[in-house]
Amino acid sequence: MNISEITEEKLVKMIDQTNLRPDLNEEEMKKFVEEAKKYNFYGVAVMPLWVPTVTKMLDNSDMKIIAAIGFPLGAIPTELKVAETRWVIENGPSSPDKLEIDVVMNLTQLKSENYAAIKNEISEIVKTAEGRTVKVIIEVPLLTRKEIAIASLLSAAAGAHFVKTATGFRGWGFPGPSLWRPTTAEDVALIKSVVGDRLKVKASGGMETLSDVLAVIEAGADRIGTAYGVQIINEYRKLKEVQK
Amino acid sequence: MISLSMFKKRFDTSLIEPNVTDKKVKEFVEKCKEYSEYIAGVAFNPSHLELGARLLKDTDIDTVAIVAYPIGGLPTSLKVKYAEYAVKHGAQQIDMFMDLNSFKSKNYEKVKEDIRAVLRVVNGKIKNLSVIPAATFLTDEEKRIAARLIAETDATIIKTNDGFGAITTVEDVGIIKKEVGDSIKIMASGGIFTAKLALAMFDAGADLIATANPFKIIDEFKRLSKWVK
Repeated sequence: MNISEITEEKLVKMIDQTNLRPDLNEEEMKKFVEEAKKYNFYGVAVMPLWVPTVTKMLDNSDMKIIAAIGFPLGAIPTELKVAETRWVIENGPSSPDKLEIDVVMNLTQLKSENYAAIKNEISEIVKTAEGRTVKVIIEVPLLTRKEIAIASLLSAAAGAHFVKTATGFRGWGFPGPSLWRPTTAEDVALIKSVVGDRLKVKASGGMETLSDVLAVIEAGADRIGTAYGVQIINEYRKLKEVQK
Repeated sequence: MISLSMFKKRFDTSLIEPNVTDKKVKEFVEKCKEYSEYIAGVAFNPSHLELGARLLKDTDIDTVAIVAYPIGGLPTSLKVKYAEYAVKHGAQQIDMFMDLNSFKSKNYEKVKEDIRAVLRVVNGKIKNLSVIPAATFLTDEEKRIAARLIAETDATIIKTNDGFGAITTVEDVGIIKKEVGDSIKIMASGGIFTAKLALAMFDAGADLIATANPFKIIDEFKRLSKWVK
């Protein structure tokens, strides 16, 4: 998208407002969802445990519920990722287009060049999702450019709808040097060059400011995953105020 | 007095990384076997559990499975599915993330029920269920409550944290030890990289230490114990 065409309405509807903190209580989660509702983001991304709570809260809204599956490790057997997917479907919104599945690719298999297993796993998830949008998280900070291209191709071949760049989880590499880095416009452009218009791209991991977001949108991102949606929209409003 | 025999079977280690190859898993297990006198268990990525269990077969090192790791966020019924998978694929120990969300909502009965639901499917089929309260996210008072809750179930180990940047302090171990006494084992985990710190953890009441690199600590112990003699 050309960023000169961006309006606030367009921007909020590109954002999956995300909260994956492990130590949230019920009240904090509700506050988070209330705030997201005020901004009317595209959706709210949470761990499976929270899907029933968020579903109830978004009952009268067109916002989506996005469930993180196999998260954040990804190195989870297919049958357990399928079980997680099934659980969020059974305990989530009754309307299929209100639930999206963000599943972490098994990178141990990617690194072992076991591509058939990866394709099979994503196909299983897509089948289980029964038409719901499936995004495959490929964790770009841990991949070479070649691996990013292969992971994107496998996601496309297996029938997924999105390639999602990263989990945003910063623990990788611990106790060694941290392997974390933010998603860049180059990552998005690379994925886009591989999947073209067949798949959409969700940029996530390190999307903390308006300029982070605009850079990846310009490179072709269709969706943004971020815990900073509120700050980003507030920044946008301030900028518009100044431009008046 | 430092004696090497103090450290026998008192370390758990793990290769839980999203991007490790099968080859690296095999190399890691080989290394663990060299240190088998000191290593009690090795934890793997869930998708490497089967391979790990096969490689550790006929050794006296336990295969450890992880459940809702490293950030929790799974409902009880899915934790049960992970536990069933673990039992079926050769785990002798399970390290599960406590229901931190219910805990933070002060729904303590639900926290215990979550643990008991897992216990019901693993009962008699594994040696240890360790529960991770994630002390990093808790106040001292919450550490006491969590330790007590876990000790009130039939879980056999409290594992302070799950690594990935979490830090366990000697004080954390002391607080938990004071609360639970000898009713349950304590595994200190998170940020323990030196023999000195490991010793302090044992002193404070830890029965076990989990670290990604026990080899360095054990080598350090070996050097120290020679020196003391």
